[in-house]
Amino acid sequence: MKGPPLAARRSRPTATAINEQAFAYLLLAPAFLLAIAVVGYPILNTIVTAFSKTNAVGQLAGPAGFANFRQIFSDPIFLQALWRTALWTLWVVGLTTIVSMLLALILYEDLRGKRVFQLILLIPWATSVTMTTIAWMWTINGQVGLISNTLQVWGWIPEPLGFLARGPSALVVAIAIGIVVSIPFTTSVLVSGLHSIPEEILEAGVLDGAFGWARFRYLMMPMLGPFLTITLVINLINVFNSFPIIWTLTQGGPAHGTEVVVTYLYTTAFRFNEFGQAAAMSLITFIILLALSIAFSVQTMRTRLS
Amino acid sequence: MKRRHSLVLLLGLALSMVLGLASATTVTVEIPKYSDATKPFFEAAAKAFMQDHPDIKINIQETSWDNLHQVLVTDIAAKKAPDISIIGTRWLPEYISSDVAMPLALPSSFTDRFIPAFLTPSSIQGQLYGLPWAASDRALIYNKDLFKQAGITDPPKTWDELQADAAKIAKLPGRYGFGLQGSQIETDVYYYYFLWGAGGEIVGADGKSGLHSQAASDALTYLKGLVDAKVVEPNVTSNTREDLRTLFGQGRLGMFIYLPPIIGWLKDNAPNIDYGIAPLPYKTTPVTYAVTDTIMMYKPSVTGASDQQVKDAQAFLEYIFSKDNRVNYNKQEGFLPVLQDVAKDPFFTNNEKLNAFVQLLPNAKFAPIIPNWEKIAQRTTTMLQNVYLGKEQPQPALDAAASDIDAILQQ
Repeated sequence: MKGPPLAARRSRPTATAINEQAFAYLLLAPAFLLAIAVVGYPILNTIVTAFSKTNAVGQLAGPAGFANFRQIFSDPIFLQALWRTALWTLWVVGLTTIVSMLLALILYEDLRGKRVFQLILLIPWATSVTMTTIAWMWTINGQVGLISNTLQVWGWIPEPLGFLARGPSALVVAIAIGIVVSIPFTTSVLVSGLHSIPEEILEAGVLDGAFGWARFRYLMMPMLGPFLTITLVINLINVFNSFPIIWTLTQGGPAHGTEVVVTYLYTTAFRFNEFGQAAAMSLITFIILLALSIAFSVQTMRTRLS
Repeated sequence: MKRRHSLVLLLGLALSMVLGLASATTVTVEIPKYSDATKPFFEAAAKAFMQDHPDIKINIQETSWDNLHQVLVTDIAAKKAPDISIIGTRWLPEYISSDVAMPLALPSSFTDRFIPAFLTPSSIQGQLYGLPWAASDRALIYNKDLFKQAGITDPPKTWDELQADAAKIAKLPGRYGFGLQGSQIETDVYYYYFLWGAGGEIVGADGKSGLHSQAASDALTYLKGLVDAKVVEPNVTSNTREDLRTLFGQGRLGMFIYLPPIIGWLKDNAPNIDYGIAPLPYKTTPVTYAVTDTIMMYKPSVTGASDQQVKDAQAFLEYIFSKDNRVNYNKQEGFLPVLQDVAKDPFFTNNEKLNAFVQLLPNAKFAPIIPNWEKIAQRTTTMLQNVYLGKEQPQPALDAAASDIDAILQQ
């Protein structure tokens, strides 16, 4: 096409429009500044601390260059914790998404007592994660727990089960609890997503013979895209940063067998008093999560544009 | 009419608040929760103190032990430290090196009242930085009924007797011989009982890790032997000190090692358990582990306190160590006396169970007061858990931990 570019052909904004826009920014300014202060200050503080020497009570004691980063990357426990965090996040987010999708599809159908089920689904959301974890901890406790005692009374096991005595089994317990507490939010978002799909599309699909899996795969899934992305991003960030479940269960033990980055970060800061190293760890967490969030957002925008 | 009354009342209240602010100093005291009795004790003491000193306001803040370190560090960094706080004595070297702990200048008529051994942990290079608060030591707690059923007459005195007796009790259905702690805080301490009992030290005279020693090897091999012989409870690495206490309270555990508050706990939660208190079994050296927490003051540079406020804080510190206050405190919380006049109180001399703990004090060892203590404790705990789980053999595990701890000691 010839001629001037599209933008130039549009009428210029009038003076009042500019004023209106400026006024809008002016009105937004306080909230914007507050957001910058609240979000920006801790990030800035973390960055400064990560590149500083710190004393035992967390005061800065001069620049440290990359010493804190060299220190944590030569620490095998941190590297293992980083790897375990990836596993922990993938398992919890992956299984949560699958289970929640199934639940959302069930709740989307015209089901008797659907509202009751929806309400029940929300209950774990309203309970604190720590409380949920403690309840499960007592259920699986090897000595007085429900599961172990029942199996012993039935004579199925010779001695108490010690789920939390070994790293791998303790991590499985943590993952299971992580899934339970993530399901309510994920399912709620996906149910709203399903309801936002125009019924005409699904009805038209039925006429064309799209039932069951085909209906889900080719009609629902593409329309659910943005909702799925939201749940993935939010769950990813939440689970990656999740502290209470593992801390309550094992504090990262035994022998660092359930240590993830956040629990090790807490131990490094508040037990070992290495605040610089802890800040370096949280900066790395921040960068990883930022990169993942940006990647997801770009992906979503691309899908929407195409 | 009514309205005017309340208006006058309100004005009066506001006026007195303004005047109050102008004349009174506020002393903030941060305390950890030992039990439900902790805060009421401090609040009652503060109330009595404020009646005698109307110009001083005492503000008591309580937090959990788990959060205490984090709360204090955050407050110190923000220059909003309390005037007085209770701390884990192991944090003291860090507070001194960071220049936030106030050296205490107390009259000798006051400091002479303490049992001398209890002042040593908070005296660093000849200077007193804090006073002992909750003192305790450790003893073997044993279930007399289970001993009778297993045909044991006296509590074990040596390692060999401990293993033999534990094996006898473990043969009873659903009962465990000896409780071995393998999870969370003080997992390492449970090992030190045996390290010391074999004549070892946590840090040797050469300034290197005591895990290099033969005693360290003997102690770890012995404990691993107990695990392998299944005379301890199953799944050691999932049991905290309090889990062992629960098992003992249920009557399922023959013996375990615990501190004086066990007396009050069993009375409240398992009054039907018939138990005895005995010294820790040892190989070459009789020992107990003594712990005092420390109550200390912070420098004005991190509290922002005026000279008057510092004086007032010190006055309150001296007040809570009055004999009456300390007798009350020890009665409520079940800790050992730190003051000589309190130790002579009939409450202690007539209390057979508590006295059993007091009798062990001559053999008391304290944890070394060194920086980076928590790192050493964590490294030792990890080593123990790996050995208890069978992931590492005792000697290689000790060698690796010892060299790591040497590096930590050099930091």
